[in-house]
Formats: sequence, C-alpha cells, structure tokens
Amino acid sequence: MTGQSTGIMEISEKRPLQVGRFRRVLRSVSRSRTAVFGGIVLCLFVLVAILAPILAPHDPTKQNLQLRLAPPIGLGLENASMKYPLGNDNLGRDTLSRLLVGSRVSLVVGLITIVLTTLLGSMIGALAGYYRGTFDNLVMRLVDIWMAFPDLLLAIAFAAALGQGLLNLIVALVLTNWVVYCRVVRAEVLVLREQEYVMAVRSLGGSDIRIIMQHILPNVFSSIMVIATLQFGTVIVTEASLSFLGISVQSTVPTWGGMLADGREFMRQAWWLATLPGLAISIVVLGANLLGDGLRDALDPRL
Amino acid sequence: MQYLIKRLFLTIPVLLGVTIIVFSIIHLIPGDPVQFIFAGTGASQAEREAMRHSLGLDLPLPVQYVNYVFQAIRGDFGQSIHFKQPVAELILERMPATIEFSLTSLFIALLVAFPAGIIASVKRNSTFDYIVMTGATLGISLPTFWVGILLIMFFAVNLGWLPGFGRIGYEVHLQKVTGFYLIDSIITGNMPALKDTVAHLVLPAVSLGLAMSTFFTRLVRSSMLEEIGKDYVRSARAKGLKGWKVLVFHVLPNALIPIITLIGMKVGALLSGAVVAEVIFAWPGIGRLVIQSIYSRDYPVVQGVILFFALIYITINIVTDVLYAVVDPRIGFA
Repeated sequence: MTGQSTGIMEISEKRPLQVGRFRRVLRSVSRSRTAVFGGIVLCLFVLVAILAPILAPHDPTKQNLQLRLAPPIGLGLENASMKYPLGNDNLGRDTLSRLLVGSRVSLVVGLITIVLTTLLGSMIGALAGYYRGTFDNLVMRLVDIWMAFPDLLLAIAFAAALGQGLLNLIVALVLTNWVVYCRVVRAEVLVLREQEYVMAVRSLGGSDIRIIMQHILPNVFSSIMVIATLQFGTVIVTEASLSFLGISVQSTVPTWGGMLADGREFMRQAWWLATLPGLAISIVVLGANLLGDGLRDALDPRL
Repeated sequence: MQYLIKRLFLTIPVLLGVTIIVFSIIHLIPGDPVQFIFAGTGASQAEREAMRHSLGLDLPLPVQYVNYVFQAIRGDFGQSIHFKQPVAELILERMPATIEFSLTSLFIALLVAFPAGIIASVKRNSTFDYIVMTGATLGISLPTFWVGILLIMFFAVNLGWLPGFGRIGYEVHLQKVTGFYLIDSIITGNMPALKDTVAHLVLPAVSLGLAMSTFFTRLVRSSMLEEIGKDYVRSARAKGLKGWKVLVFHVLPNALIPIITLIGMKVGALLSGAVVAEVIFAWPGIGRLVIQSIYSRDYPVVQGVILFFALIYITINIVTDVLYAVVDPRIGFA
C-alpha cells in the first residue's frame, strides 16, 4: 500500500516542473511584442468592462433629443461638446458611455461562453478519447453532424429559437462552439492515453477519473489555452453579429453590435456612429488574436 | 468510385443527425411555438389550431420527425407562414443571388491571396512579407459586417462611385434566364445590365472576399514555405531550372493540396459571412431570407434554409475529399 502511494507521489511530483513550464511560457510570450500588446489590450478591455459604470460619464440609456447625432470632438464639427467627447446617437444618448457599458455584454458573453465551452468540449473530448469504443464513436458522429453546419448559421438558429436574453445567447454560443475543443482534446488524449506514464499510474491502481483529471488534462491544457484565446475573438465577433442582427440580448441593453446596427441607419448624417463600435470590436478581437498567436508559438509549435 | 460510394454512405448518419437538429429548432422555442409565432398578432383560436395542424405540431413527436424527413427527401421543406409559398421554392428563387455573390467573393479572396501569399513566401522576411502578414493579422480581426458598412459609407454614400444596396438598379431591365445576373446579362447581350450587375457586386464581394483572403493568404504562404524547403526543389534548381519555373511547375502544385482542402472547409465561413453581408448590402439572397424569416417568426423557412445550407456544405466537403484524392495520387481512393 505504501509502495503504491509513493509511486503516485513520485509521478505527481511533476507539479513543480509545471510551474516552471508556466514561467517559461510566460517568458516566451513576453518576448513577442505583438503578444504582449494583445495581452495588454485584453487586460484593458476587462478593466474597462468591469469599471464601466464608474468610468461612464453619463447614463448610457438616458435620452436627450436636443443632442441628437451630436458629433465627437476633434473633427472640427459644430455642436461637438467636451461633455460628450464621442458625441451622441440618434436618441441623444452618450456614445462614450454606451461604448464603455457595451463592452460588458461582450466580456460577459465572451468569457462565460469560453469557460463553459472549454469545460464541456474538453470533458466530452477527454472521455471520448480516453474510453474510445461506442462512446467515442457516438461523440465523433455528433461532431460530424455539428461540423455540417456553418458556425454562424447554427448560432443564429439556436439564438433565434431560444429567444432574446443574455442566458439564451450564451447557451446558443456554447451549443455552437463546443465541438472545436472536443475534437482537439480527443485527438490529444488518444495519444496521451498510450503514454508510459499513464500506464504507470493505471498499473498503480489510479482511477480513470484521477488519470484523466490529474495526468492527462494538464498535458492538454496548453492546446486548450491557445484555442480558448483565439476563440475568444471569434465568440466576440459572433456575439456582435447576433447583436447586429437583433437576435441577442434585449435591445435596451447597449451592445457594440447593436450600436453598429443603430449607427448604420444614420451613416449619411453621422458616419462615426457605426465606425466607433466596429473599431472597439476590432481592437479587442485583434488583441485576442495576437495573444493567441503568441501563446501558440510559445506553447505548441505543432498547432 | 468505391471511395466515393463509401464516402456517400458515411454521410447518411450525418444527414439524419442534421435533420434532427434542424427539426428540433422549432421545438427549442420556449413554450408553445404557435403562441410564439402569433405573439401580438391577435390571431383567433381557430387560426392557431390551423397553424398547429399545418406545422404538424398536433402529431406525436416521432411521427412529426419521420414526416419531416420523408418530406425533406421529396424536396418538400414545408410551407412559409409569411410568404404563403413552399419553402423550397423561396430558396430556389434566391439561390442564384447567393451563389453569384459567394463565388465572386471567393474569387476575389483567391485573387488577392495567391499573389500575396506566393510573393510573401518567396521573399520571406522582406518588407513585403511583413506588410502582407501584418495586413492578414489585422484583416482577420475586422468583423465583415463592419468592413461592409465602412465600404458602403465611403464608396457608396460619400463618393457615390458604386451602389451599396441590392443586386441591380430598378431602372435597369434584365431578362431573367438562369437567375445569375452576370450570366443572364452576357447571354442576352445586355451590356448596361452587365455593367450595373458588376457595379452592384463590387462592394459586397470585396467586403466578404477581403475577409476570406486574410485566411487564404496565410495559408498559401505557409503551404508554399513548407514545399520550398524540400529536397526536390533543391534538385530542380540544381538541374538548372529557372526560379519561376520551379515555383510554378514544382512547388505550386504540391502546395495546392492543403489549400484545396481548406478552401472546401472554409465554405462554411463563406456562407456564414454571406448571411450577414447579404443583410448589410440588402442582397436578395438566401442569407437575407433566413434573417427576415427570423424576424417574422417564419420557422419553416428558417429550418429549410439551415437544412439547405448544411446540405450544400456536406456536398462541398464530399467534392473536396474526392478532389483531394484526385490531386494527390498518394491518398488514392482506397
């Protein structure tokens, strides 16, 4: 009995090594200027979204028709006011405050969707890859079926059927995106389960759950991180597309996609209304892509 | 041939799964779908029951599904609630618009990606390479619908150079033969219509094409780089072949293999992009139809279009697989 537990101890003593690996990855990522830039952009985005109610100078939903379509400052246009540095929309609502508060939906949807899809997809993928057999076959057929739909269209279909609302939107996005993780994790687990160290744990009597959670998943973690970072951008664009099409959250909640859709109606009079939210989306997505690319180079040159 | 049969056979479970998902869309609606469809219209109880019956919702679930599949096999995708027309008919009417638009976008994407990717790979680490790769990274982060709106604002609204909405001007007369306006205007020898069709195509196709090109440029570049490093390229150079001949006759055909597969896989992104772009450019295609149908709660149309897109996607993937085997004899039809 004691022999067994020391055996497992020895194997789990890999942990300090993993911390070292984390540092190494961090160092490698920090050497890439673009990845650091991406990381800073994402951190700023998270900060802005969290602090939005404090940062926003005005109530984002307060209408003031006298300020209708007021331009941002710095363009040399009339009616621009320092009080509303980015101007006002068609209902006189403050654009800056709406942009700041609008970041919240993007962040919440992006983050929760990524966490849930990662958990769901990786768990299903790990179980399929580890147990193989009928369950694996079933999962892979399910993945095939999912892959037969264009992503955005599937998200649109789910979102339209479930109806408006933050929770429904997240459910729709999770239902659409889980396959990405499932496929990658399954493929990696298929290889890892045959590794000697896994056999060693198994022969020492480690349970399947223990093997999967403690010995296999940590080794898949780097791939999951890379996909999650790159997917963060994709999810934000999908959320913005759905908001743009009016099938995400209630229209009273400011979202970047919704602001773009509103601004589009007034592109003749106020080009900035549709330009600013698009710029915000692009900057965040660019940040996610740059950080994701940097992470991929650092963690997994094969991907 | 055997490969093709096997490949087709394997799609049957996928097709069944796809129909289950599309079928369940209407059942995902929280509560009673008929209530939802008629919400706020003040329809009478009799009308509601008639709708329930016509959607087949009064039958047991398994019976509904079996009916749905058999109808779909016969090409019957149901009846539109809003248009009071068979869904299949609605899709077929709009299909040429979407195909014309998607293919033009793909063409533009490849037209940009091949030269940019090839030159970037040959002149690796040069300023050109740097600009191309930066452009691709930036471009991949820009949402297509935003680029589309910017293009409309700049070229259609401000400069007035190109039309930003629709497929053809109202004042232009075109006799419809195939439904593909480019082809129709050419076979009827209608030059003004051809000019107008092309003008209408430019902005939508450029916005979607540029978005796609960022991906393909990276792909062409990395695929070329991988081949350029191989021994046969060195041998070809050693036997005295000119640089461009090695590229065109030796490197490019081999680099094409992964590119073809990924073009097939990107059709999903192309169709997804087309849906949003069609809404922005008021393009009368299938993508705009599905979004309009979501607004009008016309679920049979939504289901029909999604099933149709999935069928296209599956077909294209089969074609890609077969093409893949043709291009690369090593893979074979085994």
